[in-house]
Amino acid sequence: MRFPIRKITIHPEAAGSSVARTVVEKCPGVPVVTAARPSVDPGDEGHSKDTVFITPRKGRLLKRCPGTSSYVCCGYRVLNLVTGCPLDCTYCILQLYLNQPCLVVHADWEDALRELDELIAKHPGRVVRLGTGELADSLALEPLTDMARELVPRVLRRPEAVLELKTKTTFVESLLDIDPRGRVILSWSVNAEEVVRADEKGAPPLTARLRAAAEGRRAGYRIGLHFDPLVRFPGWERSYSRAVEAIYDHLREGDIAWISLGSLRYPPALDAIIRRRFPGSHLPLGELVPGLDGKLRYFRPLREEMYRRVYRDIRRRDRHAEVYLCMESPEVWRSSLGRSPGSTAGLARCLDAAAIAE
Amino acid sequence: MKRAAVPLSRVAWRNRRFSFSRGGGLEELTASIEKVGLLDPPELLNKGGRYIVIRGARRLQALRRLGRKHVEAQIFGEDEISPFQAWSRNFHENRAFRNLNPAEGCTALRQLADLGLSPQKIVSGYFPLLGLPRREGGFEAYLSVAHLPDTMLDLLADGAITLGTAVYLATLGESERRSAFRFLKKASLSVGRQREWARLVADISVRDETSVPALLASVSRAARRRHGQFGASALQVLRERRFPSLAARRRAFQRLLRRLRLPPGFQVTTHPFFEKGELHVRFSASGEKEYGEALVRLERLGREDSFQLLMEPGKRPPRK
Repeated sequence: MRFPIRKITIHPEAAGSSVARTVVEKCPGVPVVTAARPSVDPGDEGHSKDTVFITPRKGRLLKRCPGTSSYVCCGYRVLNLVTGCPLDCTYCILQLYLNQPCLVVHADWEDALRELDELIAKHPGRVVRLGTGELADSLALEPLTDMARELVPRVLRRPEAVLELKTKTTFVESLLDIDPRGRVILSWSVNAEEVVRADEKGAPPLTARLRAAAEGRRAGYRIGLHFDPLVRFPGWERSYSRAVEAIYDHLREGDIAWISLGSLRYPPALDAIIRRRFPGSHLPLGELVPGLDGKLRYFRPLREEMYRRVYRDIRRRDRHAEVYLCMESPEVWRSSLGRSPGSTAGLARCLDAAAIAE
Repeated sequence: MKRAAVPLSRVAWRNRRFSFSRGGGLEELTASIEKVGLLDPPELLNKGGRYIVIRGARRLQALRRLGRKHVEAQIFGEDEISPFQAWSRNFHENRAFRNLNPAEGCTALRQLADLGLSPQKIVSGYFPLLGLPRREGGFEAYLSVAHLPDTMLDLLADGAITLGTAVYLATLGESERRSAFRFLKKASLSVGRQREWARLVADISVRDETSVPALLASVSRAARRRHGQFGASALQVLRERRFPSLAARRRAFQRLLRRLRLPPGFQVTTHPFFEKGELHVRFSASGEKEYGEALVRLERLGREDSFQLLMEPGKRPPRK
């Protein structure tokens, strides 16, 4: 099972790479072109979700998560091995951020490990939390590339590193026979079923994700969950309560390293894209107002209400998981969770501790 | 093609297969023709004795205004020119001398579609000529604008309504469109405000599953109860309905401010969307004595429940 791929373009300089070989091998019958630019059929907004372009990297692959100004961020490092996503979520920021017309796989991704070593050397004794899920779904292309399967053992050779693989898919099979030694966290973006159905086109239902999470846990992985974006709609309270119940139908207290809560937010420029690409979507009809960073987000009391409610539901089932807010101010933290990490550094310390505290 | 005098009564005025001209400036053209005569004869297509305008629709209108009965025109037979050639003559000649207004642009796109050109060809070949972004998504919207009634297209041509407003009006059913148009005319919103108006009306009617006429009728009633210009009040009512929690918080903030009875020269503000729980207090004082007094007042102010509540207007004041 994988997302359908109809065309593969390989940059001449990436032609001999192992990832190119793997992708071609796993896509028998799919036309392969060698070219310096991807050939893409003009599709929706000029993007093609079924074309893969394998290319040498441009610039650094390991970066600090850009986060957002004026709010507390989780402070992790992002490894951009793939950019673009075959899923088509209404709220996805990549619709605005990416200017490549297809799914881009960086052929020389192993160079990122050198960058990781440099980072570790710069901060000896510190935990380095990194993830591949910023500009892509960490596992959406795994059935094609085996990149996570290749990456995990290499990261594990570095005792300071903790890797988080964030996904909405169920593609964990390639990882199940690797011992994660408590330092790889498989994370799922989770949401109320109504949001999954209406706004996460191409993504599996919540229960399928949770079944995959349970499988990952049985294989020894710790689990991360991200309620992001929390969306307000009639009956959201009960729906999110049901989602929390579903989580603990599949996982036990102690299985989960962390749960993040983040409310719907996006730059104003994405509003027009959502309205154009998803004319029936109710997301832009929420009470979204400009935040301190200029992004549109629910009016603060509405966000706080959602955080309080979902946090309460989680705490009824789980007293241990580290629950944190994604891109919120210390004031919102205090009024929603009754505490605040104070700053990005403070939250990063909490999550570093949670990452290694099995 | 031949030159001949054609009775104006034989011109098929309503047939806009090739011509798209619309908008002001007809007075100047009429005056010019009256003074120096018709210098450039219009082009007409003879279709069984009726004449369809290829080029020169405004010149013909000017002649009609002047009460002329005939026009000296270039006449094409149906076998002499294809419909696309006829359309192209008019389009490119107009484009050479001026920019088409949005109503004309949309009509031109509709004519191309009627001539059988594919959307892809129209988007890639003609959008750039009309200064439109080369995106197929907009095509249907522009096409629908071309089907608006003449009264609306004339206002679009004259700049009284924006293309965005016209696109919104085109998405509505006929009775909804009529009520929206009536409201717009009554509100006489500036071009800049129309965009906000259209977005608010569209969002609220979809979110609340309310018909546009019902929404606008209730907004009109609420706006009439307020002071000030109808358009500004109506827009404010729409904003409050679109953002009800924010509006409630703002009202609560204002209530608390009034309760504080701020001394003259004092001003208390906060983040416009209450994103930060901070208050900004400004006061003015001239001289050391006034400054000292202001500080004493400020200190007293800070102890008042209402002042504390300004940061969290949703909370109830604590019991003393």
